[in-house]
Amino acid sequence: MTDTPMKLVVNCETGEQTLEPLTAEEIAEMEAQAVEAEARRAAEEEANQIKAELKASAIAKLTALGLTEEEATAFASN
Amino acid sequence: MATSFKAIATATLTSTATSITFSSIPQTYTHLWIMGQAGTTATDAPAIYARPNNITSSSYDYANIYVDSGGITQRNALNTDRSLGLLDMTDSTANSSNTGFEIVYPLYKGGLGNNTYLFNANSQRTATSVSNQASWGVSNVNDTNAITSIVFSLQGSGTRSFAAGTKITLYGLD
Repeated sequence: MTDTPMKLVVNCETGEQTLEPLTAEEIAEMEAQAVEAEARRAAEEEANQIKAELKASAIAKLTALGLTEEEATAFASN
Repeated sequence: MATSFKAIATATLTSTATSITFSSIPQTYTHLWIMGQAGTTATDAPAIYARPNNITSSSYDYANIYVDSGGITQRNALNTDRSLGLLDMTDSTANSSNTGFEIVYPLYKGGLGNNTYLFNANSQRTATSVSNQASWGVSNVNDTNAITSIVFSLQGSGTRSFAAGTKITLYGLD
């Protein structure tokens, strides 16, 4: 059996800390948000990976044309 | 020059929790500053998310640079649903405070434009599968309201928890 997930809420006016169990609705909402967030994160990671691969490809082609790696990197970074 | 610097509240976990919320943040300061140390019971090094006013819609833009043993990497995104994880965390439950971080929310009382913030973090891992990491970033959230709450949670699907020993302090500055 899994423990009930808890949340800590700190009231900044009173300083009171309350550790409360998440309601079933909160758990469902959190899990739905997490799944959605993970899909977006994966898409962003993929997009960043594609950018990095394109940059590496550009550097390789530029160095093949005779640029130094430093020159190619500077050019591809713009 | 700051004329006032005061600890508003501290959240300290003595057992695990999936989220940590600072609520009813007073509107009597000019800026907010957060210092924290956190760990997780998750086994796959999730990042920490910090969401002002618990905004979970696609309202965030961010830019982030981090360095680890693999070199320097930059990440960025527009119109996403988070401020960017502060940092990936350890996969060891033995060290409950391996990630240290700070966040600054300048001019948090709203009415001036979108809320922005800066963050710095470092992660000192005990696992051999991942290296230590240091990170710097900036973020914009498309929300002009005063920040009255900040919610910390963890990346990924399923229920993830902060470890006992996690401690986050919220300060107010004038």
